[in-house]
Formats: sequence, structure tokens, C-alpha cells
Amino acid sequence: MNVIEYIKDNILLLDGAMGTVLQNSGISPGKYPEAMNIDHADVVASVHDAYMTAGSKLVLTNTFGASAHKMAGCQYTPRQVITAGVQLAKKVRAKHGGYVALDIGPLGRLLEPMGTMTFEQAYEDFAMQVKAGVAAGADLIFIETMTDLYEVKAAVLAAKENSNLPVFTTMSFEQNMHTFAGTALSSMAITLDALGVDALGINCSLGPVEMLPMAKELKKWTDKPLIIKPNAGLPCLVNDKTVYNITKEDFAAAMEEIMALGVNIVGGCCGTTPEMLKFFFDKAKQRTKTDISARQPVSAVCSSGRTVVIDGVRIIGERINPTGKALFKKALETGDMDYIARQAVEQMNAGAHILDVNVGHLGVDEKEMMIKTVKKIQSVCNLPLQIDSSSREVIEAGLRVCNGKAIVNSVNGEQDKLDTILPIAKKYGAAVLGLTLDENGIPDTAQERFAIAEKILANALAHGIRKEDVFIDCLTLASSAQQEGAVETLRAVEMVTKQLGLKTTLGVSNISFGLPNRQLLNSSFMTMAMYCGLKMPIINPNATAMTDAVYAFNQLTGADVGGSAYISRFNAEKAQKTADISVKTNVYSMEDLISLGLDAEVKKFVKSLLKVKQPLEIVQEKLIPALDKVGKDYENGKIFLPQLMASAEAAKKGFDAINEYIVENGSGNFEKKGPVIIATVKGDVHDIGKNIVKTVLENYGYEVIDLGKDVPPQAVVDAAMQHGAQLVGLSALMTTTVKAMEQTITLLKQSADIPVMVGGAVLTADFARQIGADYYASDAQAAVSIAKKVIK
Amino acid sequence: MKTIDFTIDKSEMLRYTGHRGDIVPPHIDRIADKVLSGCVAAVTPRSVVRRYSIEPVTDGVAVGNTGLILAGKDIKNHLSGCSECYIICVTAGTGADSFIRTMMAVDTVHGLLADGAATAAVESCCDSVENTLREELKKEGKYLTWRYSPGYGDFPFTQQPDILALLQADKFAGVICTDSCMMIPSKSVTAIMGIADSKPAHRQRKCDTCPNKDNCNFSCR
Repeated sequence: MNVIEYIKDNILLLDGAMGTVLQNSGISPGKYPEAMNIDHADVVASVHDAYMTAGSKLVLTNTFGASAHKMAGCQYTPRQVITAGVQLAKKVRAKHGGYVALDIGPLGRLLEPMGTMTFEQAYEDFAMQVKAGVAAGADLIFIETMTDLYEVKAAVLAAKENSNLPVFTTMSFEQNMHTFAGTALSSMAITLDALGVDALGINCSLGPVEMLPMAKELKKWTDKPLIIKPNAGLPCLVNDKTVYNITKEDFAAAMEEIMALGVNIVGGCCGTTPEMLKFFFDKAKQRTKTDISARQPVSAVCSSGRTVVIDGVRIIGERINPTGKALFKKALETGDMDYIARQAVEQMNAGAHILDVNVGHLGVDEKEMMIKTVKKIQSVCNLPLQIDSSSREVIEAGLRVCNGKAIVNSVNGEQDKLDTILPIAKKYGAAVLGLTLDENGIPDTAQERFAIAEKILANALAHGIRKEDVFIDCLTLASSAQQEGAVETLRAVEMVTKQLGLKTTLGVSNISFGLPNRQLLNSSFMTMAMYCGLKMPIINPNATAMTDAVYAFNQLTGADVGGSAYISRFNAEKAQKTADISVKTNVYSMEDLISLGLDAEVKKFVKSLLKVKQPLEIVQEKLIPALDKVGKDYENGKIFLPQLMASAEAAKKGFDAINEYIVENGSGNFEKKGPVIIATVKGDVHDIGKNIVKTVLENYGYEVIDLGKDVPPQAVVDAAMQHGAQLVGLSALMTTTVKAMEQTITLLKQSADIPVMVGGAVLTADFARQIGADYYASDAQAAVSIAKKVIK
Repeated sequence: MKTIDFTIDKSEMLRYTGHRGDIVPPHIDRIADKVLSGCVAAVTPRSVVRRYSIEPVTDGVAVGNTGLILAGKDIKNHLSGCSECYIICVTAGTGADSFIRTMMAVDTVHGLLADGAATAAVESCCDSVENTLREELKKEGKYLTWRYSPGYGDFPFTQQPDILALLQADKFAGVICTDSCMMIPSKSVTAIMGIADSKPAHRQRKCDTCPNKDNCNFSCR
């Protein structure tokens, strides 16, 4: 009987701590406890044996840290210790019966965006471990003690794509029901459930008493078999030792309470011993498996840190989409990820709950751009995402790197579409959005659209996608072209909501296409649709009237319990309004506006100037002199850095207005200078100074190509050659990373004679010269002076 | 989960962004207030505190029987007359780093102020941890020297990984170290404080022993 069959009818007793027991064996595990699988196989086997004798039906191999990074410097490879670890556990298993799980712990490096390891690198590391475990004959894969949901996702995909073994997964939480890395308990349960792990739960960090409320919370979000593997109480530090001091009686009592909730896979973590577990197991064996009572289905999507339940109207922000947006298209063409990040944060701050992500644009590699965009958005914003593309490949790429449970936009009634997209949604655990159209186009009547919705639902269910994860778009048609269409759409929304019990979405703003006062029609139509059951309007959340209407609707229908979202939205707005300084543009000069950091006013002013002046004139006569003045004030210590940057950001808004004008009119273009390549060097993750230099240089008309942080020397050289850089700027914060800066300069000078400027906290002009830099920029303003000197 | 009391002092936050005690113009002040309250909500402070017996050796100070030697004459000097020390790791958490990233996406002004706010937050957390320990030691009739961190004087910050490993900071506070000895989350601090039987001499100002003192825009005056 494999472990999946076993847990259908039985309580599964796991083992307890390995590390703390090994320490008591008298042999110091040292830096590489996994090496004991080879050097002291008998000792490790005796720990497994002690647990199985105590009643454990499943043991975890001594391979928690058997990853490339953690094993670096060890005489054995991860593969060797995994093979030995599985084999020795199997020998013990032969005596007792039961299961051997390949134990996989965190890789020891943090993943992007917190750290520097990419999702793809993490996947490769885990895949290596999984393959080794499978080859050695493990019965299942047990991913545990994780704190970052993204890392877990990489591990789960590696397990599922490189084996047919069952996958159990647990993460470590604090009492606030979040991990150190900010993963919420609810997001963990939703995401892993959707990814199709075989059992999930919590281990380490806390004792059984603290885990009781967490077990209750877990049950709200998943029907999967639950695992609880606590420490022997909370750790106390007694002098220089970590001590766990729960009694075996208290451990067992708390665990029995947890089991009564329907948790049937139980064991111990740090500080637990065979003796402690035997006491508990003797009691547990007298129980029969408690079945979890049927759960009310929940429609929910999530990022790692935020769970969005569709129990009221939830706004899907539509702004990450190039259609009809010249500046967005330009950002895609130039790879300006900061522009896209800003769009994400703006929508989040405006009140969006979910963000649609569409980066399809002619001449741009959509798949690569989707991956970059999803990662960028996740680094600045914790809203769940809706991956929007007509290409199956792009959708898959987006879902793969998405941290959390996403929505796929979209399928429709075409059988071909359903057959290609639904398996992808299922594999990556995404909800699906289905459009009520098919090979014959958009049907006129609500009845016909309803029929397509039924077909989509039936197909989704057949692919194992749950009903609550199917959303239907009943399609909005322009009221100017088909006036009767609005009512049909509303009728369809109502039918799908009431008769199929599905949540619906609508791209609202189509309704007003070709008519005046679009906002009025949009918000009126949306309110009518919400009354018919619309749950997820796809709108521009920056259009305040629309977003306000949603918050009002949730308040009036009671979906916003206690009105907390409504109240906090409008209280915050009131505070903002009173703080705003009202300015009459005509009494201020450009210099004043920029020095006061009045970005909206600068933009307005520039727009009015564009009616009478050429873009280049405005830049040379107005914006640059104003920037020069604040630059001089900064150099003279009259203003401090945030002021300089507020002015730079305000000027940037002026440049935005000019760029919009150029894009729209296709005329008056002015040549950018450069390009300048900037990067924070390999090993360094502190990039605030580099970001400041970028903003200021751009304002002075330089084309800046920002390679980001932790950039390998070769990548700097490649980019410099590819773009024909005229200046390279490098930043590093610490003496350790200045070495990488020196390497970058050396490599660069071998390939081309491009001037290099450097900056960063520990650098000085002397130090800069020593490492071969041509220029030392003490601050952003100095960087501008250097650029002026170098680029004529 | 031990909560750490902290406050973000606005003048400290602004000092970390280069402010020198002049008037803060209203348009910056307004953003600073907003960022400050956002930062208070975003940071997730954690700490690990361990107490060790110590012994001076030729090249530095040996920490208990852990095999770790804190290297350099400056740390030796700092711990002279102490038979024990506390080693601490304090972090403003991943919440602080994601807050800075989000603010940086708004614009560099928000980003810069968020960075300053998070630095002020972790410093305040350190003060809070230090004060708690100082009070506890009072009961034993003992005294605490001030916080001395890798990178001060000739105490190499390349010892950061060993210190974090000793504290199991990854497990107890979620702090790890990159190959170039940078801590993640970035707003994290490790420090050594000596435990003394008699009151230590008046502490030097933070900046006096900093290797970067001649090249710093943010020194406290």
C-alpha cells in the first residue's frame, strides 16, 4: 500500500527531531550533518530505528540540508549524501515496515526579490535533490521547514516534474500566522492545495499548543490531508544552548486536541525525542482517523502575503496592458520595468484587489517579458495576479513564476482553447476566466452566452478544476453600436450567477465606447451589473468614481463587514486632501514648481507650454535650468537629498508630458544622449544610490540602461557592447563587493575603452582610482557632471 | 515570538537621508509622515540574543567553547574586563525590505525616505533589545558595554556569516548572509556587547570608531 492509500484510512505517525537527537549521540554533527549518512551511517540509522520502534510509520531521511549551497565545501556531494541517506533509512524500514520520505529543506539562500537566487536556479537545485532521492528509492518527497512560498513552489514543481512520488509539504510559521518571509498561512494553504500536493501543513518554530489555532485556520482553506509536526514547545535560550521544555504529557495532550480537528498526519520537530513521541503515539494509536467535515467552498486567489477572497466585489486592475497606451508600449519596447512597477503600485494604492497582466506587443518577446513583468510586480506589490495572454506558452510561463494562486485570462467556448489552456491552469493551480464566446463569435442573447458558460464549466470540472475557481466574463458590448446589448449582458450575468453559481467578471469600460461622458456610463453600467451579481469588474482603479462605487457597493451590501474598507478608504482620502497644497500655476515659475517638488503642477505647466513651444525649447529653457538650480543648491548644502529627488521626480513628470506629446504627435523628437549603463555590482543588493543616479541622469536627457543589482561582470560588459555605451556607472556598498566592482572594471577595460564611473558608501576618489575607475561620483549630481564631461 | 518595542524617530529617519537639522520643507515633510507611518506598519522586527563566556586570546576574543574567535584588537579592547558577552542579531524583517521596494516603485523620494525610516526602525529595535538586557543585568549587579558590530574598527565584517551561524539567525530571526557577507533582510544588525562587573568607561560616540567616518554624509553631530 503506498502512502496515499495508507492515509485514506489511517492516521500517519511521522518521526521527530533528527538534529537534536544526533547531537546527543555524542558525535558532533559539525557543519555538514548530512555527511553523517556516509561517515556515521550506523548512528543515523539508530535514530530512524528509535523512531520506528517508538511507533513512527514514516521517517524523513537525514537530507534536510543536502543542497548545493549548504553542502558547499563538504567532501561529499548532495547526491552522495542523499543516496546514502535514503538507503540507510530503507534498511531500517525493512525491519519495521512503513515509509521513507526524502527530506528537503530550504536551500539556505533567499530567493528573488528578497535575495539573489532566481526561481529557476532554485528549481534546478531542488530537481537535483529529487532525482537523487528517486534514484535511491524514496517512497515520497517531504518538503519542510520552508518560510518562502516561492521557494516551496519551486520545490513542488521540481518534485512533480521529476518524479511520480507523492509530495508532502510543510512550512514554518510564527504565531501571527505568517512566516519570516511574509507568507500568510491562508496563502500557503490555497497555493499548495491548488498546486496539487498530497498533504500540507506546518512544522517547526512553534510547539503544539501554539499550532492549535493554526490547524483551525488551515482547515478553512483546504480539504487536503493536514500535517502538524511541532517542536517540543517554544525554544528557550539557556546560556548558550537552545532548550525545548514541554513535557511529554503536555505535548501529547496538545497533539490530541489538534488531531480532534481532523489532522491525521502527525509527528514532532526540533527538541522532540523518540521517548516523547512514543508517549504520544501510544495515545494516538487508540484513536481512529477523524474526517474533516465538508468545507464551504471558497473562491480565493492570493499572492504570498495577501489572500483575496471573492466574497464581495473585487476590482481587477486593467492598467498593465499596452492596448491603447503609447507610453506603456514604449516601456515594453525599451524594457523599462520601473514604469510597469509604478503602474502596479499605483493601482494597488488606488484600491485594486487583483492585477491583470498583459504584455503582448508587436516586436516584444511576450514570453520573456511576461516572466520579467510578473517577477517585477511581485517585487513591489502583493496583489494576486491575473495572467492575460492569447498564447498558451506565455500563460504557462507567467503562471510558473507567479508566487501564489493566479487567474488565467482566458479561455472561451472554443473546444481547442479549452483543451490547451485548462490543463495548464490545473497544473499550476490557477483559477480560470472564461469568455462567453466561441468559434461563432459573441452570441447576441443572454441564453446563448449562458450555454457557453455551462460548456466552459463542464470542461473545467472535467479537468479537475473546481467550480469555485471558474469565473465567467459575459462580455460588454459598446452601447453606441448595440444599444440592446447592455441589457443582454446584465441578464447573462444574473443567469450565470444564480443558475450556475459562478462568479462573473466584466471588462466594464467597453460599454461607453464612442459615446460622450464615458465615466458616467461606465459607473452606471457597473453598478447595474454589480446588482445583477458581477463580482470582479475589470477596470482602471485610478478612475476614482469607479473604484469608489465598488467600495460603496460592498458597504451597502454588507460584503465589507463593519465597513472597515470603506471607512479607511475615505478617511485616508480626506487626510490626503487637507494636506494637498493648492497651487495656481500661473503665479509660479518652473523653477519654483520644480524646487517645491510639485509634480502634477510641473506636468500641467509643461503641457500648456507645449502649445506654444517646441519640446526641445522647453527642456533647454525651462526644465534643465530649474534642475541646475536645485543641483547647485544641493551641492552647496542648501537642500538635502530627498528635496533634490523631489525636484528630480517633479521634472520627470514634465519630461513624461513631453514624451507623451512626442509619441502622440510623432514630431519634435529630440536625441537622447548616451546611453549610460548603470548597475549595482555582483554580490551587492543595495541599489538605492544607483536608482537615484538613474533618475537624475535621465532628467538631464541621458538614456540610462539600468541592469539592476547583483549584476555579474560579464553581464555589464555584454550590455555595454550591445548598446554601445558611452559611460558605465557602477555602485557597490561594501568593501567585499568593491572587489566585484574591480573585476567588472578590469573585464570591461579588456573589451572596450569605455569610461567608468563608480560610487558607493565605502568608495573614495583614491579608492576609485586604485580599482581602475576613471571617475568617482560622490553623489548623483557629481554623476551628472561626469556624464557632461564624458558624453559630448 | 517576542515583540520588540520600537519607534521611528522622524529626525533620525531624516538624518539617514542626509538631513542636517535645517528646516524640513513641507512637501518633504508630508511624504516623510506618510512613509513613516507606512514603515511602522510594515516592519516585522525579530531578534536573537545569546550569552557567552569569553576569553581574550592573541588575535581577539574566544567565544565560549564555540570555536569562534572575534578577531581584532578593537573588539578585544571593547570587551576588555568582561568575562561574558551578549551576541545579538536584530532585524526589521522582510517586511521592511518589501516596503522599501514598494516605495521605490512610487518614486525615489518615497524610496529614499522609506530606506531612512527602516534604518531608524532597526536602530530603535536594537536600542530596545539593548535596554532590556541592560535592565536584566542590573539585577545581577552587572553592566553592559555598548553595541559593537562587525565592520567597526578592525573587527572584520567577514565574520558576519560565522556570527549568524552561531546564533542560528536564519532559524530564529529569518536572517541570512550572502556570499559577500551582506545580511538579508538588509535592515539587520549583529552586535557584540560586553558584560562587565564594573561600570564601563563612558562610551565613545558611534561615529568615532567608524572606518567610514571621513567619508560619510550621515554622521551624527
